[in-house]
Amino acid sequence: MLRTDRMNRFLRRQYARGRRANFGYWLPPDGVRLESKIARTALPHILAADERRDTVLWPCLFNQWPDWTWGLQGTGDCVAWMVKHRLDVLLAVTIHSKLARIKVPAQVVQEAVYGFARVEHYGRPDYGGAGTYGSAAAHAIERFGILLRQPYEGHDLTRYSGRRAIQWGRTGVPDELEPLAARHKAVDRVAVTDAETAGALVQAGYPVDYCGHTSWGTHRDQDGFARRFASGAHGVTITGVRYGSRPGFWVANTGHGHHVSGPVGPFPVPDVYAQCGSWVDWDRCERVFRAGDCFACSLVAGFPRMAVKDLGTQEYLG
Amino acid sequence: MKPTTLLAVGLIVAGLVAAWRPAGPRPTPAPTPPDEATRAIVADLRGQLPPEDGRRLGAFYSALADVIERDAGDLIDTVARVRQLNRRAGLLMFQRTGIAGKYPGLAQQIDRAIARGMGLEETDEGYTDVELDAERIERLVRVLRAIAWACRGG
Repeated sequence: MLRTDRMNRFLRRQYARGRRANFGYWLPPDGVRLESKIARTALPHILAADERRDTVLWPCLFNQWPDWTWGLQGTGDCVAWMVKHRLDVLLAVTIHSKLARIKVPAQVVQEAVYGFARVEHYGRPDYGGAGTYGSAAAHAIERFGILLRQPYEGHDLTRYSGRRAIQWGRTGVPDELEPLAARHKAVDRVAVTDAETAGALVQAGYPVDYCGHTSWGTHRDQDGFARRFASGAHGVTITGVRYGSRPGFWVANTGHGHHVSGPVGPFPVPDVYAQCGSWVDWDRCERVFRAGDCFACSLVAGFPRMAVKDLGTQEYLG
Repeated sequence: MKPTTLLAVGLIVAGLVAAWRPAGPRPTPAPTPPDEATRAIVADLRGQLPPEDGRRLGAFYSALADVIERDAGDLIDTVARVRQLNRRAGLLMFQRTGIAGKYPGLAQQIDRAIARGMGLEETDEGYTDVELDAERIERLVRVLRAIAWACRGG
């Protein structure tokens, strides 16, 4: 049996006994996932790309924020870190593609994602532990929006605070900030349930969640793929795809500090980004997608494909 | 035979000879010259190609324009699909004809002309993939016809 299935059964038993695991990821309650469209059927234009090509999205991130660095979770808010990084990369790609409507581009506040997911969306912060799940966070940023890393009146959100995450995870995001968050809502949430669609989404410029019972690298081999793994209930972000003889996804675990070492493989990776990520084999990721709690979204209605590299003439005229 | 009969037969023969044309391929009608603005976009392409290859490429882009015009956005509704159509139709038309690699830089010039004609934004990643509304389709058809015109020497 797949480890993901074992984990899901374990978590279901916990639910049945009215308990929650005391870590950063919960299994979504039955039915929640069904409220989302499935990317494979909802986004035919993304899957219709006539060729699959290796794509990495972090150049846009570092182009937008050259000083980007990883952080350290202050509580079991990995799912919020996952969604924050997905949105940061998406925002950078969207700005790069000149489609963004956010006038003050700043990174996303993960404490707000966490609070919205646990309290405002799920409505039950008294579960007895830290954490949330992918579906709740994906719904929350669509229903309630996002806050940006900047000073707001009465709230300086320029830096991450684990204490704030814990507080907002219990009481929700302060009411006075909710209208400000509502100015920037994610749109077109889709569940990503297979690796092929995840690859097509990354190729089109959309990072994807990697959420559930997951494995992430701690040391990379010569090819940049994870050779040693940590695993458990966790949420991290996929920001690259590669095909060829050894297909896989770049998994960025941005909330665990510097914890990965080894060669990065064929694509240049900034040192600070390599310290918190690795390529992970296709099949390993496929199992997580199939478990059903991974999402993608857009900041512009209709999931536009961000760019085509050329208009195809070179293919026949050389 | 009376002279009048002889004259009548002669006139009939002359008429038949005058009406006869040897069978052969009809030349493709020359495309209509584009307007000034579109002509400027394809100016670099003019006079680059020898007549034979110019005719082949011109016929291709002319046909591509006709197909896109008739489709009117039903199938070819995004820039990505334009790329797909151009790539696949071009490969089918020109593979193993010896034209690939014969004119360095021509493909990029044609891509740029199409993008400029459509008003596409160029980024480091390529061209922004947008949906094609009626105006954008009309601009695409116009620039493809202009490319056909320029390939044939303008």
